[in-house]
Amino acid sequence: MNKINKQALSEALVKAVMVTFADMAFLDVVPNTEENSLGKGEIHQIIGLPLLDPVLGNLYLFLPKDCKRAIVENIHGRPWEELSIEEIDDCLLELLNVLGGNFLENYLGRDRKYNISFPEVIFDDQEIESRSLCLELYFDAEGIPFKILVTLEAVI
Amino acid sequence: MEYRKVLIVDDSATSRMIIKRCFEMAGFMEAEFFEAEDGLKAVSFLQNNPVDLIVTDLKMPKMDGNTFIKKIKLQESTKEIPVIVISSLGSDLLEQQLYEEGVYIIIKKPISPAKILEGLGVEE
Repeated sequence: MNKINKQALSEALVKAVMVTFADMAFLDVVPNTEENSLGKGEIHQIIGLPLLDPVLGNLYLFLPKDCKRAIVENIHGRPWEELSIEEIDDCLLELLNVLGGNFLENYLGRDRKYNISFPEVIFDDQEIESRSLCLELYFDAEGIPFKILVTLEAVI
Repeated sequence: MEYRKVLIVDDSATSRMIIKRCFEMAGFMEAEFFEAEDGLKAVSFLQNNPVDLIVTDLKMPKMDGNTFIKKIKLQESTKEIPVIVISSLGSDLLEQQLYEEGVYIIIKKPISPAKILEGLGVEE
């Protein structure tokens, strides 16, 4: 197993988040240096993306309702009230899918193949707590906080 | 643009919506867009519905983009249709394989009108 370079992983994730949110959701995102800027009670939805190869782990996006709303309304160009739950979930999952791809490409480089699974809505956060935490980063999307967590089992 | 009928193949409805919107913004205003949520449905659609351009994702359930592309490149009726791949799975090796299979252009997600125009060699 290769050694995990947390600094490089963190830089790859920050860059991927900023680019993906700007390009897809037209949101300016910056890292939030204030830890725990998002209380557990504020989290409205968790979505996860299993990373399969060569990085084995998971990428989780913790979103408060305002952040979900901003992302989905910007991408769809329609008000939140007009959107179905399926449209909202599909939109967030697609964002995470693209984010995961950009993150791994930043970390591994373009010449390295990688494999990710399908993004999914997480209903039980106990499942996340049992995994080995690698990175926990807080962000600010135009005044709205959100969190990203990476769990890693191995880098093959 | 000469592409009048465009088939978009992607399992995400959001992604299909974004792709369609970006193509319209890139100048495909007159095109008619059709959608399929996986390769299997796209193959079935193409049996009775000729199109001028296929835009496909790679990672899809039931039939992934690689299998779909191989299938249409083997069919006499579909092998000449240009295929644009739009995917988050980027690597130089994968791109080389796709070009060898006959893919016309590869665009990395997130898609934008500028990336489409650049891929097609059209000056903005």
